[in-house]
Amino acid sequence: MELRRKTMGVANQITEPRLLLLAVLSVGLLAGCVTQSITQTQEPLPAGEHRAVRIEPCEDRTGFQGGRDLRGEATRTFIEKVKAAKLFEVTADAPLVLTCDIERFAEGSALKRWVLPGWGPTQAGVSVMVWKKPEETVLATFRSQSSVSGGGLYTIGADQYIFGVAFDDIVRQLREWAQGITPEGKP
Amino acid sequence: MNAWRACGGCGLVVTILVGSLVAGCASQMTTGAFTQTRRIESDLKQGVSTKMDVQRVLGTPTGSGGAVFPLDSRPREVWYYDDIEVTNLSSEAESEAGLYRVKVRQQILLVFFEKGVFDGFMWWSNAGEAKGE
Repeated sequence: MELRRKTMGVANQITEPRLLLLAVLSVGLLAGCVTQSITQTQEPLPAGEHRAVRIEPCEDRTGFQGGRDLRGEATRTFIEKVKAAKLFEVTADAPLVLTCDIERFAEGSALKRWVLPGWGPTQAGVSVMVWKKPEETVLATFRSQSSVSGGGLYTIGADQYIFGVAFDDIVRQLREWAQGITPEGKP
Repeated sequence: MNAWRACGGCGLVVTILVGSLVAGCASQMTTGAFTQTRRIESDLKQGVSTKMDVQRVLGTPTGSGGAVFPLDSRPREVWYYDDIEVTNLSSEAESEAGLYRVKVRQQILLVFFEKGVFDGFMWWSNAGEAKGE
């Protein structure tokens, strides 16, 4: 009975239209997309000497049959994000090499998501390895999976920006690694 | 305003319903089904291929570490690839209530390196489509 009274109390508080609208907007802003990250650091970025990177074309390992050039889309997006972050200069002969794999991609459907949350998710999974040439030493590995599995028709086009969301997360991990910040949050 | 108040708990219900339509996300971590296992023996050469060669064939490993095997004191670096994913979930309501059948694809691949050079691999899979020849 105590629990029931508390529940009804919450319901009465949200009957105010403005509060109701605020609650709905809050839920919409807080959710809608999920990104999961995994950072594996083998070695820190050598201090001061490698601020240029070579980015190899992404490999599509998804087996996606949708008639899209995922390799090209992901490579372009990755290069744009790295350049925009101004972390590294992108050159053709840098001793630091970034390799990129597209591990998962699903176009999904905004209509399906609107009908039933969780149905028709748009997903992208990418991983990036940082290599030091010519020794071919792996310095770090970053992985990111982004997913839009709920939302209304405003999520139309999620398949066009989902790589951007995933690579934003990769660049964030790259920046933290370059700054010496460990996954635990300590330099 | 009166209509809202008269409805009582409707506001909460509407909030939850609209919220669940507007939001709601899920994701899973997996490397996806192995699709390049046949290339391990054709494209990689023991004692010759480098880590970058392995990455080009198999992609980014899920994890890495090191191992020393009994009777062989040479330390080896190990790259770990896995793919574990629920591929089908069905209920058998007519036979036993509450019984669910889950089909899981499980694939494990270990790649060994000695001094940074490909030294062998070991893999296991329950997926009929993936074959190592």
